[in-house]
Amino acid sequence: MSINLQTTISGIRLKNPTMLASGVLGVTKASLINVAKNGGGAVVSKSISKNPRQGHPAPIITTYEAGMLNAVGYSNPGALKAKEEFANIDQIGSPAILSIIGQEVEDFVEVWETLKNCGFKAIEVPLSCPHTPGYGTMGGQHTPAMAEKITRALKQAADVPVIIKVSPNENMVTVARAAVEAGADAITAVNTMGPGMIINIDVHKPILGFGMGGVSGAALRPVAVRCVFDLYKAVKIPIIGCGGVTTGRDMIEMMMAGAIAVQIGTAIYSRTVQAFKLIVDEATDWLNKQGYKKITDIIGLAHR
Amino acid sequence: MLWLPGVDLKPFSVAWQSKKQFGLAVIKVGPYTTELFKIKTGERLGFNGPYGNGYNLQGKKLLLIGGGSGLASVTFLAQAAREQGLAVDFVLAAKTADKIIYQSWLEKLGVKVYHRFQNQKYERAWQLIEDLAEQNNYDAIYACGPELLLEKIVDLALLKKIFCEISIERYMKCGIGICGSCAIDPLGICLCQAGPVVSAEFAKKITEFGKFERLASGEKHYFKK
Repeated sequence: MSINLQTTISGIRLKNPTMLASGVLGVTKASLINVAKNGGGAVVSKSISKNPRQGHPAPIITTYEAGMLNAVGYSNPGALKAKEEFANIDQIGSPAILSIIGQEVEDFVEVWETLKNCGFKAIEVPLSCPHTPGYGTMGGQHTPAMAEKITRALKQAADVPVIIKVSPNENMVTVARAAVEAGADAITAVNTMGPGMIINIDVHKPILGFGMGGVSGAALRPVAVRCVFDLYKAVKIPIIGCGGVTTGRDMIEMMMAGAIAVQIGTAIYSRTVQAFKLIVDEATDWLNKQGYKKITDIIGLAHR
Repeated sequence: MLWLPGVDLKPFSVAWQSKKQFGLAVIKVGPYTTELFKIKTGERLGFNGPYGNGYNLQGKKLLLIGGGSGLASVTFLAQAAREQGLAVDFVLAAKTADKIIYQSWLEKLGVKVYHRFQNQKYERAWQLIEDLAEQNNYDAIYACGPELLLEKIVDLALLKKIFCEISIERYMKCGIGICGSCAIDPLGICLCQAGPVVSAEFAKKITEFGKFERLASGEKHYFKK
């Protein structure tokens, strides 16, 4: 029996609920096409700033028994070069979402103005990166006041949905509520947690070039599920779950907590880019066995 | 990948190995290698990997070409080929005479070494490679070096129907197919996993091959023809 896997985020139709999380792959249009080919229901670009950024020195990623730590540092070619890279992004087979970063409120709007004709279906704004000075939590952006200002500015400038990506920090719900007040169309929950640190004891130095980095993968999953669960009660707009989803069961769990779609990043390390198709197949199996006809029927089930 | 704690992590090929040791070939080209040259015996470095794939040895008479810092991956291959008793001709291409390294080491292995200092367009090295390929009946060609030279080698091998593998350099940050820095057009796959060694046929599927690479920011950098 075939299962209806479609889900809709603020009018954007996804063939299945899996999405590529921002920051993983996504440097090039071709890599986004490759994710779409491998089953990604939607893709989020690498975060784009007004000017080019080299990012932090390597190692930018390290793995450990419970997941991954990263401090990439928002390397990106800047808005003008990104405009060339992502031209006609609406023709890649799955909807593409533009992740925008900035330091001033006007920066976010300027990046959108530069890239608005590429064909992105929505904007995602990470107010929540835990490892880049001047941005996200290290730039004082993960506050209700900043969430409101940035959301409002983008809602005025753009005619596509604006998605705010929040941190799992304790003020998550208030930040999300402020974004909703300002007109946000959806919330992505959550960014990496921490920052954390792993020290190589043989050279007695932190492994990551930046010293510390955001924690993702299996360690983050229960935190992310709880965040989605809390937000589902607190806000009325769609929630995109993100954090440690590696298998079909993980996706089902995240959706039962209240997610309308799930983002996938760290799982690409353990399962390659085929993770999207594998997760969808595993979830389909489970839904079949349980007698569900459409995947959206399980959204928020843990609340009932 | 070689980790200089507190500085950076960069990809290197293993140039040689013995039962207890392995060596890397490093040319001082930028801030990272400048720092690397300052380390003293006994200081600790880290390494991750090995990542990616290697060359597939095929045939009995081989032509190996190593240009600049790309030398290391082919010297390692030369060692493996000689251990199997295969005949190896080796072209060492460098910008200046003092950059010719590994010549005596290769000769001790029984490798026939040719060397050329090259101008910016690698014309002298290329002429030598063309002549060698004309005069000898090679079963396979392996090369690592400047991409515009690799492009010519790939075309030559395909024309002459000689098995050929090359190692392509791209900006690699994580080495595990996550960060996307080394994604190649139009396939969108990461060269740190799909490469760095690819067949001549595969190289022709990479539309950016011989045209541009991406820098640390992801911005395209076009090769000067």
